Amino acid sequence: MGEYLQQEQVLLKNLAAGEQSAFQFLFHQHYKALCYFANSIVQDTQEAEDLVQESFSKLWHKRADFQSASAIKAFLFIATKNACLNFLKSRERLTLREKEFTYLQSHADAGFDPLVAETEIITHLYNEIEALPGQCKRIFKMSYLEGKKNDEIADALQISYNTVRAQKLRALKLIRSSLLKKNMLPMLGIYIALVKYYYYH
Amino acid sequence: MEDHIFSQRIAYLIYGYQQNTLTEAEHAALQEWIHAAPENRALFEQWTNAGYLQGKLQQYRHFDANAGWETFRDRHYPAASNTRYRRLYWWSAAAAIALLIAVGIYLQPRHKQSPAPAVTSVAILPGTTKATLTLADGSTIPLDSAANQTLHQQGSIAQLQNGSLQYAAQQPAGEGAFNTLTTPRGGQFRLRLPDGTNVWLNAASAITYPISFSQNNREVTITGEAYFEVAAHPQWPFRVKTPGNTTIDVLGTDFNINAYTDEAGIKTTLVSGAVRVRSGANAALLKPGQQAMVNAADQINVSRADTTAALAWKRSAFYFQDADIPAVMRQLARWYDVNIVYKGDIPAKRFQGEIQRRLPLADVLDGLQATGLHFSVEGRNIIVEP
Repeated sequence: MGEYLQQEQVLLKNLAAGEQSAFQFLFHQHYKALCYFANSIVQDTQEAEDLVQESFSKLWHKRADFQSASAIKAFLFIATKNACLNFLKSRERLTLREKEFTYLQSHADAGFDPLVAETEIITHLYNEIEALPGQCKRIFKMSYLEGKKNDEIADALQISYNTVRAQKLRALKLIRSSLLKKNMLPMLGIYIALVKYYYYH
Repeated sequence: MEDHIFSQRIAYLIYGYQQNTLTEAEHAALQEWIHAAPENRALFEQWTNAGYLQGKLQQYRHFDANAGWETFRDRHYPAASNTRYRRLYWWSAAAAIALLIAVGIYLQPRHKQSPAPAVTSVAILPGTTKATLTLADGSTIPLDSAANQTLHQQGSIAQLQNGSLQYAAQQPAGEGAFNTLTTPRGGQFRLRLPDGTNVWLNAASAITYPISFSQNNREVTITGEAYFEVAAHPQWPFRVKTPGNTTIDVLGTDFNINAYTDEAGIKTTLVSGAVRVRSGANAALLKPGQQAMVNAADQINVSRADTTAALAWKRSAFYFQDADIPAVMRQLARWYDVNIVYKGDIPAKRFQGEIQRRLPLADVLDGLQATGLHFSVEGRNIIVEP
């Protein structure tokens, strides 16, 4: 963890100094997650991206105030959420989506935001896909995220059908999340799920 | 800020649950949260639904961090925009590396180092169409799907054709000599008996039958698993005997018998028509869609059958319904002709699902590993580890 702390200190220092590298790093770390989060509230991808830009601009103005990387992340999410809710109010669009959202907020544990948790889960899963090696990642994304069939992928990448299949199997071995795998398996003729797991201890 | 940390904690537990990396204390914490409110349970179910997450990942993918960054940079670092293209490459490379390091360090302490899947590349192929025919004098003939041939015995003619052995319709006669068709582990075969009844024989199974049936009844004996489409002859009763005391009297019908001696009991599943299952002093009449389970004490338990499950093997699939690991592995052992070795405790997991039987074993094990089981393969031994 020492290295991480050191890196965090460098990040905070560079951020306070308004260094491009710090902002670029934060964009790569949080932008997709924040846009996903905002889009889940406002249901409009372009609006979501604009609102996230505003949050980063707010961060720009407060850049000297942060003591930790997690505080930056929390700030970005809270700023984005408030901006989204204000946007919905300003448009007087108390949509069903927002009702549902506030409902979940009020009924779940105090202090728990399901959408923050969901964004975090999706981010973990997405990073797991991003961590796959080159061609394996490309094929997995085309299949899993773009819904392309094996022969379409083989055509697009100018590789054999068997290579596509082999790379998918490789992805399956590398990926740790059971749920990513679960949706991969039907492509391989396997539809199996763990239905119960008894803990004896 | 505190709220944010708590939400992240729940996300961490859900993600760890998906990866099977939670400690017992974390598992307990997750269970506590799930039970704290019905909304929590609904969220948990949503976040462990593969289809739901796939849709969400597709949304997530839509957003482009590079494009977002460029917009931001154009606004806050106008001077840098001129040199954008020269600098873009190494900035994004540096950021990507930094991100990987940060993510790596962030994740590392939470994971037990998971070993690389230990399935070796030894290709264990699925079963094929093959069997051995044993004649009345004890001589044997290997049968497979390749060769077509004709067998003559005592005036009976049998054709071996396309992986199926077909006896010509018999003349009314006395009971003839007995033949036995045996499938090995990793084999299956089809048979047409001289009365026109079709039989599908699963792996590691056998059926003994006369080359011509007596005028009074048609009687065959099976071990293992077989599916029967019995030719309807109302005045000519058909009876299937199994190891132990169980016999099935058939009244013109399609049904499956699973009588493997390493399974918990003898299961007769009726698809259409009617059969009477008898075992010792007990008897039960089955209706279509019912299954009779006969245990070692000759007790018969009739229940609603899942015919999809009972007949999966016939359409080349394994089918599991709330199956424990040994039940799954017994099916694999028979079809891939492998031995199962358990190292340590057998994890108390249960499965449902379907796996094609045409796949090489390695693919099937990959699939099962995806549900958190661990295997290694040594020769024809599959070692199951907790």
